[in-house]
Amino acid sequence: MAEDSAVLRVSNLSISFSTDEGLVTAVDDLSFGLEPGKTLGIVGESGSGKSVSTKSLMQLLPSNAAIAPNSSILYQTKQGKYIDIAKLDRRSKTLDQIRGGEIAMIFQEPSAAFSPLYTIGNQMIEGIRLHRNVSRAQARQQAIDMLERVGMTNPELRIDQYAFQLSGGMRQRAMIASALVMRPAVLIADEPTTALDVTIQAQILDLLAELQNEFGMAILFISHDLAVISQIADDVLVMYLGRAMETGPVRTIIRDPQHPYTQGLIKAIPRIDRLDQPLLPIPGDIPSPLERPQGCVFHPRCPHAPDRLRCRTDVPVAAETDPHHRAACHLLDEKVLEEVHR
Amino acid sequence: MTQPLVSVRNLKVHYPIGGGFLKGKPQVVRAVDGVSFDIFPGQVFGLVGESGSGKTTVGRALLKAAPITSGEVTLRVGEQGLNVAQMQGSSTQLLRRHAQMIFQDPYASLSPRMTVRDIIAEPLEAMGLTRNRQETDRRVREVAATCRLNLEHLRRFPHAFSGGQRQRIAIARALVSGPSFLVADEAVAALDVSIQANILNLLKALQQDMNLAFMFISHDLSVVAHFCDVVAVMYLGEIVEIAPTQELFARPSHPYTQALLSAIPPLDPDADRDRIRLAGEIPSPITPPSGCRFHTRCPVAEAGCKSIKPDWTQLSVSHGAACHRVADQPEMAAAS
Amino acid sequence: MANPFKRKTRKEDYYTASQWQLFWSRFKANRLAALGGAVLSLFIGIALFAEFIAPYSGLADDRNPDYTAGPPQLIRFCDSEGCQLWPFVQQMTSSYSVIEKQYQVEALMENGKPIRRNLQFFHRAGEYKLLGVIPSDLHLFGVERGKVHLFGTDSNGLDLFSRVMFATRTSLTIGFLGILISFILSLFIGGVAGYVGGWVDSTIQAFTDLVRVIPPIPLYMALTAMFPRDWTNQQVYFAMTLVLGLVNWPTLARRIRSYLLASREEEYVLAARLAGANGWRIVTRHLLPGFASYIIVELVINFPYRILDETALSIVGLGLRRPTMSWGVLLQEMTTVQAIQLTPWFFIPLIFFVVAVLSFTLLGDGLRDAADPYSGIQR
Repeated sequence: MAEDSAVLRVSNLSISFSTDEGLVTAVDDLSFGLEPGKTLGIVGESGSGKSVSTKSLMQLLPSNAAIAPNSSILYQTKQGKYIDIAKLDRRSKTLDQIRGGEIAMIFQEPSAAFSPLYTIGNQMIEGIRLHRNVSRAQARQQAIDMLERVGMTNPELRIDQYAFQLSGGMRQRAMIASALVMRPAVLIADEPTTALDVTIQAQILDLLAELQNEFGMAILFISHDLAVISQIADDVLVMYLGRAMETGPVRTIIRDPQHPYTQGLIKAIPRIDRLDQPLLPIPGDIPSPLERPQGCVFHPRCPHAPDRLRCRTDVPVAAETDPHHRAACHLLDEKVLEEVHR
Repeated sequence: MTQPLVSVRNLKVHYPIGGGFLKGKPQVVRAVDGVSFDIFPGQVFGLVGESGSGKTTVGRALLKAAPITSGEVTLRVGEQGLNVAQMQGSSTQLLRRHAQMIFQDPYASLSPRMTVRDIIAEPLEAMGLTRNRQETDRRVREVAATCRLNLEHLRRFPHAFSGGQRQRIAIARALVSGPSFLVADEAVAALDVSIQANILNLLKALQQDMNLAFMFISHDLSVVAHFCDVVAVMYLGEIVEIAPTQELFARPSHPYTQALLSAIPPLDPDADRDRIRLAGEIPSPITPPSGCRFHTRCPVAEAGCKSIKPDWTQLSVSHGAACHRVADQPEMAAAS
Repeated sequence: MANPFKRKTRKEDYYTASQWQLFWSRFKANRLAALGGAVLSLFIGIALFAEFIAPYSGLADDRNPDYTAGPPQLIRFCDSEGCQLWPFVQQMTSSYSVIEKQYQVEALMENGKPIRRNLQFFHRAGEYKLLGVIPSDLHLFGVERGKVHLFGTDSNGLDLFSRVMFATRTSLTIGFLGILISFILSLFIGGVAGYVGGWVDSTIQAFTDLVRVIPPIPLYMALTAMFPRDWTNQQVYFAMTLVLGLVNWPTLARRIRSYLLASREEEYVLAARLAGANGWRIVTRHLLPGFASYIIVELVINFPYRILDETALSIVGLGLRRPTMSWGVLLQEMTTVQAIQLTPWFFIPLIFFVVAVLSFTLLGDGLRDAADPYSGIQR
């Protein structure tokens, strides 16, 4: 652990919700590391647990959620101290310092991040003065500089507007500005471009990449859209029903996916550069969270599972296929064996 | 050449917002401002555009679910042409029977208090298309099976189903009256990628088996590219370009189409592409820009674009665009 | 989990459960609300079968002149003379002592022994018509000779137990009719405003707001003060329900209006329209079923307030008057210091009133929580 370069190291994270219908596992034994200055993309469909796991990084889970006791979310502060966020109390002071100051978050719906009662400036200045010992005027100047940096036109004017007075794209820029004004070491971006039109999405993706170059923060980018992830991420983590299926560098994942789920997902994406190829859906439906499959969670939809008993009984362990590239699938052992026999 | 199934001429949908009793004069939203196109039997017609382009309103106007301000919409039923803008009473029933709709959100478009059987049977019962309950049930089971629904699930309520299954229920409801024309408004946008392909393939199969014509409304050009025969691109209430799919994606002529295409994130991170980055956002349809509505964001706009509305230019039999610089486009593509 | 088959059928039950079934299963899980519901069923039973449960009519013809302002009689199995297996009450007298300024209560003696009056169940006494139709003289209990007063008597010697039973009927029905009238008014007014919209809506809203801004208490007083003094009690009773209904429709009308306005835009309503459904079918098949649970909740939550209104008005003498029996009329008698000091059993109607209002509130809250079964289901 001592020589771990990751700014954020999540190990064995499990999260469950108690609902009327019973205990629902949302995240199951998830581990990943986030390197400074790099972007990790988490891709997953509904029920994959991608949003839940990132909310837990800032202790933003609803009250009926519980993090398993053996989970750890180790965060290295700017001062080099290690803090296990999973063990912090929801009301602890340390958490307040981490939120915003160390780890910031942007969402799909910017209107959720801004209060309709305060101007964008009010909220940004308040945030700055909470973490930094500066005067109101200085804080205001810092906020204006940041708004200008994210490409807001007339930042002096915009700072005194309310979020609802801005267009969708401008709101998203304002949210990015207010997240980055504290120069956080980690930015969590939860589907930040999903509600936007493609032309605006492209603008925001460019902006995030630029800002990362400039400020050097690590980005955790969550999306259901593998194509968006491929544009911004260095590494990709593919999740399905709360479990990590595959993780590795973005090019390897997209060009040489090892897990049948990743392979299926890529074949199901309509691509304008492959108009002649038919769309190949993954058969079946995503199971309801109440009906978590036994064994490998993907087995009911996996083309390889029907003739393999252990897919239905044993949970596969993630294995390294190449350096930095891991997948959790029973088939991988078979491939390794085949190669040995050959 | 065959006659068009749906024919739209200079369709306008304007509606007031705000205003009312002692609240002053309302503002007029020009949601759809003069669009014309034809959809032929068995054709899949794609309509793409950003939010606020008016594409949903066009789809609803065709089904008389949005008030038509002016223009003509004709749906051909047999030898008869239904005038959608002026119809009322029994001819509305005829329209409902032959033109149906699939919605974006399968959670919102199914009555939560009706069983799957009742939902699918709704058009039959509401329009009295069947003689008795047995016939209704038979027809419901037939359509449900076509849409690959488990017949044992007909007694269930929508809360028992996932998004993909719900969308199949919605498709079954749209097909039960035996329509020849379907409007699918973002029909797969709310679905997960692995399910989306499933529904698209089902729609494609149904379309081919029943020779259905579709208006497929979507913001997602990749989906449109895979599903549609012809694509129309809308911007701020107007159609800026229409072309057969292959043609449109290979040789986009309108700068807006070009920008849209280049904004689609490719799956491969190293994909070679010329990016046209549009600045700004779509203006308000209450006060659309003068001249060419796209001039405020257009990378190749000239002085004249600001004041003169571009004419529709037919580049080939099936490919047309509305742009002052459409003739310069080949050079432009070469230059970039 | 242990029995996969059982699990499966349970799941199928859930999938084929209608809105009402989901509503009901949620409601049952809420113990407090179920308790409220059970207590209310008891009250409704009392209201329906008051004549049967009450041993006397509670009116002047059944007064006990020997036992005015008498305290509740205990049901005994034993007295100074020993015990018996059958429950009995002692025959008592009560008389006002002018010197001591209070009632003197003593057991009547016969041959030096207190008189025992054995309780009789399904006792035949005064005639009445059950539910207003079936003639009967059967009462739940009674005594052969003398009288039994479980809750004591009032200052006129009328049986308080019987009076409370009849008062329960009056108060519940007046609340119910009041709610019904305001419900019909609000369904009509709110329904038209919400379904038609436009200028009709604006006009109706302006009128609704006008009614809403008038403070209810002066409005009640003004309206009830208009009742002619020579009206019969029955006329006053119906006028009261009308007043309760007329004053209270605006809130519910607004709710119905905004619900209709919101659900008019729901996609499934548009889907129904495109399926060829006409306005009537959309309202009855798509809008009302979804709305019914909310309306019921709304009515149940409002019920105790109508009872409160009636009671308050009757206590200050503006509502119902003797000899009509309602909780308000009965409680009017306890509004003296004397009552607190000398005749605390005059407060028994208050207990009924408080329990009824509490039960309605518990039930209403439970119904409201159960009304939205979709809130807890993950998409």
